[in-house]
Amino acid sequence: MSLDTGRYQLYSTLKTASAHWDQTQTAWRDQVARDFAEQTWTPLEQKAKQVLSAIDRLGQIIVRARQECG
Amino acid sequence: MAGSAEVASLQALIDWKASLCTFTAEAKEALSSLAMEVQHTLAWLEEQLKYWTSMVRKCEEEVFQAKLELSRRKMMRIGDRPPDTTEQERALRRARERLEHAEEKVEYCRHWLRQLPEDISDYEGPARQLGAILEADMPKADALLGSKIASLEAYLQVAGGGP
Repeated sequence: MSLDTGRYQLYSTLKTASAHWDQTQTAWRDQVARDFAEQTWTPLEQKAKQVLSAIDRLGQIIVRARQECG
Repeated sequence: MAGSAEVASLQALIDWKASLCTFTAEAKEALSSLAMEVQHTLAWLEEQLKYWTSMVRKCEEEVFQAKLELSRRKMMRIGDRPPDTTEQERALRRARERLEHAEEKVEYCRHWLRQLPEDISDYEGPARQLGAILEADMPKADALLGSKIASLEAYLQVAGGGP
């Protein structure tokens, strides 16, 4: 019972997609690409990072709860 | 040149579209798995509360029995000397310690059952927002990329070149 599996899956898929986006940007540089980055990818990436931070905080709390109630 | 497509590799765009689809699917799966783990944790806490509450009852009974044993022992008289009650006193002390431990665990469980839902909601806010983006915005992004790819393919066909 831990958040590690879901966290790892989200972290890992975000890392892969971020690297792929960096690579894609070298081949796609028009206004549509800039709009896509600004309106779609960047907000998505930031939100995913926020979720990862929230998982880390919650994970620590759950570990404490498990220690105290186990 | 403003307004014109600047795509050095059509394949890069096709690959990115696929990568974004994979990300969307995996991120959704991760959020589901996390939501399930959070629910398991709450269910586990409920179970722990039941367990420690039953332990309190058991330990109360043990304390009661240990007190009874001590009283019985004290009433025993061997000659003029008072009976040795060291063992019974130790048993009572241990029973009380076990009871105190179980009571402490019950308090911890109650505390976390009140507190954890608040901590969970701090996580659920951003998680729900990410889920909404994945559900609502990613199909649009996929469609946008699909249309960009289609228009580039059409252009390349007209131009007689290849990607």
